[in-house]
Amino acid sequence: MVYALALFLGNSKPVFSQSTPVTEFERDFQEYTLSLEEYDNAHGAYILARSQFLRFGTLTSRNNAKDATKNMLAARDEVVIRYSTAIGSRLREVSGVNQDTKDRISNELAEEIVWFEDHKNSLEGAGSLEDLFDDSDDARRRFNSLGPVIYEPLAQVPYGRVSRFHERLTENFLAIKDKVNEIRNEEREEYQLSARKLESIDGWIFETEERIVRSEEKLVEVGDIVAVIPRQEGMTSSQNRYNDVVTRSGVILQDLKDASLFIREIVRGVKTK
Amino acid sequence: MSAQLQDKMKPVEPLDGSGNESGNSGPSGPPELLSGLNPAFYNTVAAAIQSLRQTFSSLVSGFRGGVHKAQPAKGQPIKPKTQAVKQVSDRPSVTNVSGLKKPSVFGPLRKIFKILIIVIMALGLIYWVLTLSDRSGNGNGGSGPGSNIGNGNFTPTPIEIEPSQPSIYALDEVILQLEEDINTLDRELSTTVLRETSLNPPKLDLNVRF
Repeated sequence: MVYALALFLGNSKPVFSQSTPVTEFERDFQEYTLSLEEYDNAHGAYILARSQFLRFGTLTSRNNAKDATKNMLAARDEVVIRYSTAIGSRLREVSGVNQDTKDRISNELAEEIVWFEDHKNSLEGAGSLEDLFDDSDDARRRFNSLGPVIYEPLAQVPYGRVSRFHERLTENFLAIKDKVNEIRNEEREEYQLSARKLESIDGWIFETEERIVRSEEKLVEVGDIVAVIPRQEGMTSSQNRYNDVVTRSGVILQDLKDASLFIREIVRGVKTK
Repeated sequence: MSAQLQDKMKPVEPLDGSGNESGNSGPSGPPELLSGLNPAFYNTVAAAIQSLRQTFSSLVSGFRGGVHKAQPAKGQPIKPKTQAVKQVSDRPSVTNVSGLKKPSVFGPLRKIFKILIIVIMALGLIYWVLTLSDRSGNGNGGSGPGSNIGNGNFTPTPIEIEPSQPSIYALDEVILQLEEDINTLDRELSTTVLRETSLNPPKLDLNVRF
């Protein structure tokens, strides 16, 4: 017995708990994930109670269905609350987005969070199944109007990222360009590069400038799309707008990758004879 | 009993070398090595050897003769095997064992087998010649799908690689810092994800009705 226990303990592997979230977004996202699981459980119980009530129609089954519906609606509201919180914390972490824009979107998300919290608390006062149906319809209408509130921060995330990349790349490019001009104007013979080498570097500089200018033009277009999201827009339209922003941001990202590659060529050209 | 069997039943000449069996090349006489053996044993062994030789020679002659015999004359139907067997058994006694004709059962099969062997050998020879030409053409010893580009006339263009020597700016601090920054940015550009699929709106049951 002792030997078996020792063998078991010796062969058992350590079990680690879930990694502790580090950032605010990771914490909020973890809570959102947990709320989703609770909602799934509550929804399953609701489906079961509903089917039993529809089958038997007894008073007990009706009460059970009412309780299950109430729990499910509360869990559903909690999901929306946690989701909105996670989106807000994600937006706050992204650099490249205007602070005013972040504040505006955060306020809008906070409004929705407050509404759904009040709605969840009001479910306790529902006297009948019909009351719960009405409460559910209120939440449904509110959620369907959340398209711009949800998709604007989601669209700001890729836009902010490529904006920041563009900014950093431009800084690096200007720095290397200044260095090349300094080398070009160098009077000391040992610090000069050959004409052929300088010509090659100029070619790379030209290509890099072209990519940066092109990406900047596309950034302006994306910024216009993100900034003008009408609040009356439905969920589907907002989603389409978000997809458009992501696609365009991908094109800009590719231009920035090319520009980065060309800058590396410039650096390599400067470092070699 | 046929004469063939009667010949086989004839006793072997004794060991003292007085004579051999008619028509057969048996042992000429007791060699000195066999002088110590029992004559009866020796005769038995010699008879067995003789019968084996006769059987083998009859098989060989049967294969040789069966190829031609299996092909019927043009326009004439092929005789059934039973008749061929019957004909063999009805023949008069044959004194020469080696002249016994085996039924031509394996004749067509032997011909087909020969043709198959020839075809396979020809295909193998062709394949070998092709691979040989590929190897001599490309010089890389490979026979993969990319080895026949240009029908063996492909010659890679030599790339003139100029050996790069570091310039005086190879250790310049500004240049090195810029290089590190751009490498970091390049890594981030390669690994960044624009679409946050984990933050897609949750799928909720919004139609609650009984």
